Amino acid sequence: MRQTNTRQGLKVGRLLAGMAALIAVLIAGLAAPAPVLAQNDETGGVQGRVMDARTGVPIPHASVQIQGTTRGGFTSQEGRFRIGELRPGTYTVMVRSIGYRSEQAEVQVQAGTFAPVEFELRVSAVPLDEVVATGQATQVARREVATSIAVIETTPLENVPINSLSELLQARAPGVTVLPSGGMPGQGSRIVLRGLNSLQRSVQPVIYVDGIRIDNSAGTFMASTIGDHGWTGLDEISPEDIERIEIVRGPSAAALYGSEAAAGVIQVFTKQGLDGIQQFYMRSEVGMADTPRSWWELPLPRDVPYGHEADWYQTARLDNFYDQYVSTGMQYRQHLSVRGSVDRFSYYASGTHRDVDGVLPNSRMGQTAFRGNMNVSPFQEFNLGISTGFSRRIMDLPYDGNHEYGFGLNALGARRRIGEDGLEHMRRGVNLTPYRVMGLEARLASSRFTAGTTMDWAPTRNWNHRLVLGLEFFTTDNTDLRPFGNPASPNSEGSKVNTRRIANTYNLDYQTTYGFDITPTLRSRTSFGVQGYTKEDGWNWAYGEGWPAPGLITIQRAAEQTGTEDRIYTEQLGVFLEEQLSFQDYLYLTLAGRFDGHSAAGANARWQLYPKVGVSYLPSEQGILPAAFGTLRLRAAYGEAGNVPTPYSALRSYRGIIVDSGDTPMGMIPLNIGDPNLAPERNREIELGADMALLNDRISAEVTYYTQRIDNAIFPVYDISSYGFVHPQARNVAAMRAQGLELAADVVLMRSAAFTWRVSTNLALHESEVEDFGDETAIPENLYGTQWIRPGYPVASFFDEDGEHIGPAYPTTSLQVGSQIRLRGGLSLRGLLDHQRGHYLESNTLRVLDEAAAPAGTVFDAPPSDYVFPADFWRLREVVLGYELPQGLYAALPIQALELSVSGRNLWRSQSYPGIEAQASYNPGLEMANQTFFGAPLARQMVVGLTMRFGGAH
Amino acid sequence: MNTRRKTKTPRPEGRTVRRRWRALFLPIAAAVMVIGCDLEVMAPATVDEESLTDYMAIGAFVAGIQGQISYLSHGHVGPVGGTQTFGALRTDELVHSGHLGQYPMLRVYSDGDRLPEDAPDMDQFWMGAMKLRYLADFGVQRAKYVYEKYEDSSRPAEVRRVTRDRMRVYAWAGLAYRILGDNFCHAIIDGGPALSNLVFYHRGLAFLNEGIEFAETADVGEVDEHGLNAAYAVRAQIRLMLGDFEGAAEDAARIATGYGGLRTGGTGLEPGDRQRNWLRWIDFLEERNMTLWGTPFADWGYNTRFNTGVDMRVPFSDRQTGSNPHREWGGDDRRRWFRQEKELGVNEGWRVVHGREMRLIQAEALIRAGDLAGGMAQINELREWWNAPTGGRFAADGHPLEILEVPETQEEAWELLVRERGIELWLEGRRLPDIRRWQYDPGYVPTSVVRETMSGRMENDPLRNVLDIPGEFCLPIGATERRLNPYL
Repeated sequence: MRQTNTRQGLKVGRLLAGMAALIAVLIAGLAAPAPVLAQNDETGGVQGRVMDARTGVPIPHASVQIQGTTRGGFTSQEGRFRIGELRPGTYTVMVRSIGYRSEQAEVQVQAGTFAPVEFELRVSAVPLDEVVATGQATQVARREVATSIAVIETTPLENVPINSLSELLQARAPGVTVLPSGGMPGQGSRIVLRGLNSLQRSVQPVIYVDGIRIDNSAGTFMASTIGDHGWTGLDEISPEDIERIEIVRGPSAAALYGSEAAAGVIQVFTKQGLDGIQQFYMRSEVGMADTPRSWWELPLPRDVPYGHEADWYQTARLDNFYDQYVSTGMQYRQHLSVRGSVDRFSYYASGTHRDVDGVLPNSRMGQTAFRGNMNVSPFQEFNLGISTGFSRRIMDLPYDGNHEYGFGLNALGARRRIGEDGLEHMRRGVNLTPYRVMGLEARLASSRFTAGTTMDWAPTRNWNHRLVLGLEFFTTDNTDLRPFGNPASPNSEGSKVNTRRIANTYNLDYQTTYGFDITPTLRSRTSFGVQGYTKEDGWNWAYGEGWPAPGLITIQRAAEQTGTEDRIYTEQLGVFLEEQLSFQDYLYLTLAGRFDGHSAAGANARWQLYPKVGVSYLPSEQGILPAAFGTLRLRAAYGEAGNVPTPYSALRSYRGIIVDSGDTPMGMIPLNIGDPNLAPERNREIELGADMALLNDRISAEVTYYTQRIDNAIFPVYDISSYGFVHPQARNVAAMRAQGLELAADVVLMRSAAFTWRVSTNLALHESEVEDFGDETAIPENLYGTQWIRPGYPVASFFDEDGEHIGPAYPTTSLQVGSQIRLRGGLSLRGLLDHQRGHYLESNTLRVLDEAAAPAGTVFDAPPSDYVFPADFWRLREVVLGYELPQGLYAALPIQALELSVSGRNLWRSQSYPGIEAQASYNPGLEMANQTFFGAPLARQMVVGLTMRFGGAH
Repeated sequence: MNTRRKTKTPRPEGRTVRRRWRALFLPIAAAVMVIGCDLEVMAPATVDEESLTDYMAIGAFVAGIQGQISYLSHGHVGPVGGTQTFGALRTDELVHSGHLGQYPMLRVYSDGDRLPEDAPDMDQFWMGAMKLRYLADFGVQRAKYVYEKYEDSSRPAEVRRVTRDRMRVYAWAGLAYRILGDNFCHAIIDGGPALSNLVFYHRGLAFLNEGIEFAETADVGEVDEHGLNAAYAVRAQIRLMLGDFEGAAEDAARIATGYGGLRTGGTGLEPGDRQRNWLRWIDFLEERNMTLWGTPFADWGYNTRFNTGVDMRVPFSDRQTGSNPHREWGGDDRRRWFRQEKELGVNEGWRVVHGREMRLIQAEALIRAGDLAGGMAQINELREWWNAPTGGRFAADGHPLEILEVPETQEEAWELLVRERGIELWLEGRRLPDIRRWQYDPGYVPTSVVRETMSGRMENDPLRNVLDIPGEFCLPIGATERRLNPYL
C-alpha cells in the first residue's frame, strides 16, 4: 500500500480546477442566444395572497414557486406575494406551507401586467407536499420520500430562549438526542441520532448549512485544563439565521451521503430573501439564569461509608460554596435582520450579538454573528444564490471537572485527610483555594466563516441542474493562562498553553435531474450527481512557563517554551444515481445508489457502493379509503451508509522518539501496523413507517420502526506483540445491531379563529447490542471508568467489578410532550416537557467526595461501580408566553408587528440521579462516555423579549 | 383527495435545442472529475515507508533503537521504570524501602517473589522488548538496502553517511538483542514458538558478525571507528553471556579502557517528557522507594554524606538532594534509606557499553582459565584507570582505589571478580544476567541481600543468598502475546 506525499495544495488546486471547469461549462451552456429579460414591458408576473381556507387568516412564509422555472418566493406577513420577470405565457403556480396541503393553479401571464391569483390552503396534518432535500438526490415533496425526515421550523420558536444550535435541536424530534456536557454557557453537547451505532469513540452526524459542509468536531486540545468539559463547534451557527433544519437519522435515508453518513445527516437552511417586500426583523432579549441550591445538593441520607456525619457535605461544604460562588447570571441577545427583493435580486442580511453569564465565576459566553444571503435570477431558467456567514464566539470557563485545580474539586471536596503532621491536606498534588482557582483563565475562542454558491439551471421544464460550491474556514484559539504569582504555575512564575486550530473545508455538490412521463400515469425521474469534499485540519500547540514579572502573558516572553503541530487531511468523493417511478401521485418507488470513496479507508477498501431502495404508498390519495379516514401514507426503505475509520488508521506508520544523545536527536519507532483492507463500517437499515392524519386532520401521527445491523464494525485489535507493532489496530471485526421505534404525534384539541390548542408528543425507544466480536483476538475494551465495550450488551454499558452488567449509557426511552395555545388577540402559550430514561451515569463527583471524607490512615476502596446511578430525568424544557400587541397601538409607526414574550428554559427538573446534574457528561468528545466530574447543573433561565417587524410593503 | 392537476405547459418562445444538448456537458464534466481523483491524501504525522530509502533515513533507525533501549531500560515502561529497576531489585543491587501501599511491584521484585505473569507491567515490558526487536531487524534490513543504493554514489558525503549509519545499526541492533537476552526468559520471533532466550544472543551475534565483516569490506575504520569499536564491544558482551570466554576476551582486548562506548539517552515519547532516568526518578519522588541498605553494595560503596567507605564507584547518601534535609529511613519507615548517587541527573542516560567492562571480561576469561595473575592484572588496570588523571581521577580527588594483590585461590579470585564486576557495572542492568549465568556456572554467587519485608525495623529482615528466591531472574512473556500467539 502506497502512502503518498503529494502536496495537499495540489489536491485542493485540482478540486478547484474541476470546479472551475464545471462553472465554465455551465457558463458556456448558458451563453446561448436567449431572450434577455431586460425590459419590464416585455415581461409580466403573478401576484396574490395565500390564506387559511377555514379561518381566512393570511399565511405568512408560504412557499410560492413558478413550475418549470427558478422563480419563486415566500409570502409576506400578510400572506401576499408578487413574482415578476416572467415571459408571457401560461404557468403553473404551486403554493406550499407547513401544516397545509399544497395547491396549484394555472395562470396566464401577459406582458406588462401581474396576473392575480388567490389561494386558500386547507390544513393538512401530514405535510405531504412539504419540500425536503436531505437524503434525496434533489428537492422532492415529502409524499415521495420513503423514509422519515425530521423537519424543524424555527419560526414558531422565535420566542424560545435558545442560545445555540444544540438547544434548538434539543427535544424537538424523536430519535434526535442532545446530551449536554454541563451547565456553563457555551458548553457543548453530543448530538446522537438513533443511538450509538458504532464502536468508534467519536462518530458525528454530517452537517451542512446551505449546502456548505460544516466542521462539527468537539476537540479543544485543552481537555486537561478544563477537565474535559468540551464544547461543540456547531454552536457557532447562530440560531436566529436558521429557517429550518432537516434531519435524516439513519442509513436508509442517508445512503446518498456515503461513507460518513451512518450516524445521520443534518441540513440547516438559513433564511433567504422574500419576494416583493422588504422587511426588518428585530429581536431583543434580556434574561437571567440561576441554579437553586437544591440542584447542588446531594440527596441524603445516602449509603455514606466510614460512618461520618451524613450531612457533612451539605453543611460543611455546600453552604459556603453556594453562598460564595454560585450566582445569578445575566444574558442578553440582540438580533436585527432585513430581507426582501429588488427586481430579480433577493437578499437576507443579519447581525446577532449575545452575552450569557454563567452561575459560576469566570463563566461566560459571548457571540457575534453576521449573515448575508442573496439570490439573483438573471433569467427565469437560472438562479444564482450566494450564502455567507461569519460567527465569532468566546467562552470563558472556570477550571473544573477532572482537573486537580478544578473549581468544584477544590471548593467542594478538596480537603482530603489528616496528614502525618496532624493537619488537613488536600488531595495529592492539590493545594489551591477557590480564590486561587478563580485566578486561572481558560478561554475558548472560535471564528467560523462560511461561503457558498448555489447555481440552479433548468434548461428545459423537465431537466434541471444544481451546482453547490462551499467553503468553510473554522479557527479556534484556546488559552489556558496561569498568571504570574498563581501557585498553580511552576514556581508561581506563570505558565500558558495556547492551542490554535484551523480547519478548512471545501465541498462540491452537483446534481442533475430529468423527469418525463412514461405513460400518462407513470412518471420517471432520474437523478445523477457528484458530491465531495476536501478538508485540511491543522493545529498548533505552544506552552511557556516562567515569566520574570507580572503582566507578561505571551509564550514568547516565557523562559521555557515548547510547542507542537499536527495536520490531518481528508477527502471524500462519490457519485450517485437515483431513479424514481411515481404512479399517479400515490405510489412512489425509488432505487438509488452511491459509489463513494474516502481517504480514511484502506487502499483496498477505498471505494464502496451504498444502495438504497424505498417505497412510499398513499392509499388515501389513491381513493381506496373512506374519505372520512383522512391521510395515510405507508413507507418502507432499505439503505446502507458508512462510518469511516479514524484518518490514517489504515496506514502503517512510525513515529518519533526523543533520544537527545548522539548525532540524531530523534529516533523512529513503530506505531501502527496498518490495514489496507480497513473499510468503512457498513450500517444496513430497514425502516418501516406510517404517516397518518385522522379526524379532519386534528390528529396526526408519524410512526417509524427501524432495525440496523453493522457486520464490520471497527474495533481495536491487538496483534501478536512479537511482530513488533504493539499498538492495537483498528479492524473490521465486530458486529452490532440496533432497533427502535419513533413516534411523533400531534393533536389539535381545539381550533378556531379565537382559540387553538395543540398538543404534540415525541416518543423514541431504542436498544442496541454489540454482538460477537467475530475475531477471537479482540477483547472487551475499557472505554472509560466502568464503561466497557463487551459483546452481548449495549455499546459502552456500565459493568461492575465482577463483570455484571449494570445498564446502558444511552437513554432507551425518550419522551417529549409539548403544548401550544393561541388565543385571539395575539396571546400564545407553549410548553415542552422532556423525559429520558433507561440509562446510567457514573458520578466521579460523589466518589471524590466520599474519598475525601475517608478518615486518615484508611484506604478508600469503594468500587467505582458503586457510583453508577440511573440517570432518568424529567425536565420542563421550555415555557413561553407571548403576546402580539394590537396593531392599533403602533399604527402610526412603520411597524408591522410587535410581540412581547416571557419565556423560561429548564425551569423545573426531577431526577433520580443523586449527583449534581443527570443530563451532563463531561467528555462530549468521547460520545460514548457518560461520566460526571463536578461541573454546574443546567441553569434555569427566565427571559423577557421583544420582537418587532417593520419595513416596507408591496 | 388529489389536488394536483397535471398540465402540459407549452415551451416558451425562443428556446433552442442547442441549450439542451449543451447541458449534457455538465454531467460529463462531473464524471470526468470523479475519474481523476484518487483520494490519496498526505499523512504528515506518519513516516511513509518509501521515505525510508533516503540516505539520511537510517540515522532514525539508529536513534530509534537507542531510544527504545533507553525506554526499555530506564523509561516509564511500567509504573516503576524499566529493566534496570527490575534487575537492580531482583538481584543484590538495591532493595525495596518504600511505603507498603506504593508501587507493589517494587516489593515483588525485591522480595524475590514469582512474577505475576498477567500483570500489566509484564505486558508492557514484553511489548517494549518486541518493539525493540522489530526495530533492530528492520533497521538492519533497511540499512543494507539503502547502503546498496548509495554505495556507488558520486557524492562522498552520502557514501560516508550510509557507511557510518549501517555500521552503527549493526552495533545498536546487536546491543538490542543483548539487552533482550539479558532480561527475558524466552525469545519469540515474529509470532513463532517460545524459544530459549539464548536465541536473542545468537541473533545479536549474527548481526555483529555481519557488521564486522561489512566493516572490513567497506573500510569502515576510516569512516566510523567508533561504530566498529562498539560492535566489537557488544560482541564481547554477548560472547561472555554465551560462555565463549576466549572469543569475548579477544574482542575485549581490542577496546581501550577509556572507550566511551554506547549510552542510552532520553526516553521521552511525548514533547516535554524529560523523565529519562526512571531509576533515578522513582527515588526522587519523596517516597524513598529503594535503598542500598541490606545489599553488599552498602559495604562496598562510599557514603558521600559522611565521606566514609571504600569505593567511589558506588556512591550513596541519605540526602534527598544537595540541600534538603536528611532522611534516615525509607518510605516504609523501617529500612534505612541510602540513595544511589551514581547517576543523579533525571535527564541523563546510562553508559551501557564501555571500555571498562572490557577489562572485566578479560579478567573473567583469565580467572576461569586459571590465570589468576592475569585476571588480577586486568582488574588492576581498570582500577588504575579510575585513579589516573586522564581516567576517573580518583587519586586526584583523594579517593584512590586500592591496587589489589593476586589472591591465592581461584575461589578468592572469583569472589573478587563478582565484587568488582558488580561495583563497576552497578545499576547498568548487567547484574541480572550475571547472576543468572553464575547460577549455573560456576553455580554459586557469594553475596547476600535482604529479602522478605518483615514487621518492625530493619533488624528483623533476613539476609539471604542472592540466588535464594522462588522467582526467576528474568521477565516473562507478556499476557497479550500469550493470548494471541497460537504457539503458546
